[in-house]
Amino acid sequence: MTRNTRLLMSMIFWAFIIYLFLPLIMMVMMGFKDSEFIGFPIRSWTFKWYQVAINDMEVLGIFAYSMTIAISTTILSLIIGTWAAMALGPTKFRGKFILFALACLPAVIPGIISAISLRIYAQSLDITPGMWAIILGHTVHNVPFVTLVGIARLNSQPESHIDAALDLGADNVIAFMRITLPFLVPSLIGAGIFCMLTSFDDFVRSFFLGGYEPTLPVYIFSQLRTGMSPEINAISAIILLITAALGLSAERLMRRNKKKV
Amino acid sequence: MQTNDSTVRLQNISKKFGSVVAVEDFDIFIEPGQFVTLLGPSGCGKSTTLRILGGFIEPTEGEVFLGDDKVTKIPPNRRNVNMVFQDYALFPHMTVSENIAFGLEMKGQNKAQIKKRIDELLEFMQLDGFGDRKPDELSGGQRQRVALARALAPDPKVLLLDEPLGALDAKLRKQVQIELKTIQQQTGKTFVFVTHDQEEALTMSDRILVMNEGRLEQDGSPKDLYYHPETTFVAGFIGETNMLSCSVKKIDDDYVVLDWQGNELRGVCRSGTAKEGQDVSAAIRPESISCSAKKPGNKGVMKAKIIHRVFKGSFTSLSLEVDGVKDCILNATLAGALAEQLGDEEVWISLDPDYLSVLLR
Repeated sequence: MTRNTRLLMSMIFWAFIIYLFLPLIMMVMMGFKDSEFIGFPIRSWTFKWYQVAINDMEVLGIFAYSMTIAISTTILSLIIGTWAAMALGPTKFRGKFILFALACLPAVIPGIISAISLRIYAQSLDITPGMWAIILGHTVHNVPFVTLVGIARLNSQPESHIDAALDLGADNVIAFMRITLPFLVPSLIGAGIFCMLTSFDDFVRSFFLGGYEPTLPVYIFSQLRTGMSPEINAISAIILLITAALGLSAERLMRRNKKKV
Repeated sequence: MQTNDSTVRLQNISKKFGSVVAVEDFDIFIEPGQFVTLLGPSGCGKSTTLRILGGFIEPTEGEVFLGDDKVTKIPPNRRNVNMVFQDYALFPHMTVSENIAFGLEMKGQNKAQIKKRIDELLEFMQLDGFGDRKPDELSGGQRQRVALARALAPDPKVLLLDEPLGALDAKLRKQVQIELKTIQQQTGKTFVFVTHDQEEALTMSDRILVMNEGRLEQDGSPKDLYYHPETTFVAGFIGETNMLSCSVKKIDDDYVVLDWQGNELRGVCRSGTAKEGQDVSAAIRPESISCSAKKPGNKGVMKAKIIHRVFKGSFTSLSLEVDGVKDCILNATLAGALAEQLGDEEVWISLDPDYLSVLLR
C-alpha cells in the first residue's frame, strides 16, 4: 500500500467515525443547553437539565418500570435459554438441526411482525397489555441469544469433565449444578447483560404489548411528539453512559472467556 | 481364581458401535494389586475396554465383575472404581483441594474427614502448599498428580488410567512413570493403565495385555512379551525385531527346526503346534544375535557380511547380510566393546534358539 492510499483509508475511517458519533455528540450537547428549546445556536450552558431529570418523579417511575421489565426478562431468558442450550448442546440426536433452527427463529424475525403476533397471542390468552405481556415478548426475543451463547460455551467444555464428575459419584443433576453451571457462568453473565440492554432498549415490542404505563423508550417517543425539552437529552445521555459501560464490560467478559477455556 | 473386593473380571466382553466392532470377545481376570496395562495402537479397543470397566460404556455382550459383584449395568457414579482421564479433566473453577474433595463429598463424608484426607493426599503426592491453587496455575506434572490424588481420594478398589502421561514432555514422562509405579506399589491398589507407548508399558507393568483390532493378542509379563512374542503383531509392535520367513523342517524334542533359505535355525513355538513343511515367521531381537570374528565351534553358525555399522554410544548397531539369504538384512546390536573386536566385513553369527520365536501364520 502506498502512503497516499493509506492516508486515504484512514481519512475514510475517521470520516465514518465522525458520521457515527456526530448525532450522539449533538444529543449530549443539547442536554447542557440553557434554554427550553432544542436546536442551535447554544448561547449559554447549564447542568440544570440533569438536576431536573434526576428529580423528575415521573421519569424515575418509568425508569424503575423499565428496569423491572428488563430484570425479569433477563432472569426468565437465562433460565429458559440455558435449558434450551443443554438440550441442544453437544449431544447428537435426530432432528437436532430443526430444533436448533426453531430455537433461533425468534431472534431473526422482524420486530414488528413478532410484536403484532405476540399482541394477538397475548390477547387470545387473556393477558392484558402491560408489564407481563412486555416481559413475555422480550423473553421470546432474548432466549435465542442466551441459547446460542450457551451452546458455544458448552461445546468448548471437555466431555471428560462430566465423565469425571460421574466417576467421582455425582449424578446428572449434581454434575450440572456443580460442574457445568459454573463453567457456563461467565458466558451467562455476558448474555444476561445483553438481555437487559435489549429489553431496556426495545421499542417496538414494548409499544405493541404495553398498556397505559409506558417504558422509557416509549415515553421518550411520546415526549418527542408533544415537544421535547433538553431534559430528554439529559436522560438519554445518562442512559447512553450506563448502557455503553455495561455493553463494553459484557463484550469484554465474553471475549475473555473465549480465550481462557 | 481367588476373588476378593479388588479383583476384576471381564467375561467375554464385546462392544459394537453400529457395525463397527470395537472390542471382540475379550476375557480377562485381573488379580488385586497388579499393575496391568492395556497396550495397543490407536483404535485397538483399549480405551473402550477401560471405559467399559469404568461404567461409561455398556458392553454389547459379556459381563463385568468387580470382586463377586456383577456391575455390567451399574453406572459410573455407583461403581467403586475411579478414573484418571487423558486430559486430567480437573474442574477449572475449583481449587486443587476442592477438586480432591469432590469425590469425598459425593460419598457424604464430613468436613473433618475430608480435610484430613486432602492433607494426606497432598502430602503423599508432594503437592503441599498447592491446595488453594487453581488447575491453570499448575504445571503439567502437577496437574497430573492432582488428577491422580482426586481419583485416589475416595479409596477406589481399582484405579483406571487412560493414557495419563500423553500430555507430558518426554523427560517428565520418564520420571512420572517411576513415580506412578511407586504410588501403585505403596497403595497396593489394582491399576489398569491404557497406553499406546510400548516403552511406558514395559517400564511400569506387572502384566501387559496387548490388543489389536479389538482382540487380545497376547497376555504376559513385560519380559515374556519382549523375548517371547506369540504373534507377528506383538513381535513388531514391541521393540525392534528381525522377522524371518522360514519353513518348518522338523520338530525335535526341544526346538522347532527351521529352514531359512538354506540355513538351519532353531526356535521355540509357544502359540500353537507347528507342523512340518509349514511356512512360518521367526522373530528375534537384535541383541539375541551373537557375532564373533572367529568361527565358533557350536552348531547353527552362519557367515555374514557387515554392510552397515552405527555407533550409538553404549551399543553398536550392525546391519548384516547373511550368506545365501536374499531380501533380508538382519539387525544386531552389540555392547560397545564387543563390536570393536569385530573385523570390517566378515563375521560369524548365531541366533539364540531360546529367544527365537516361531510364529504361526
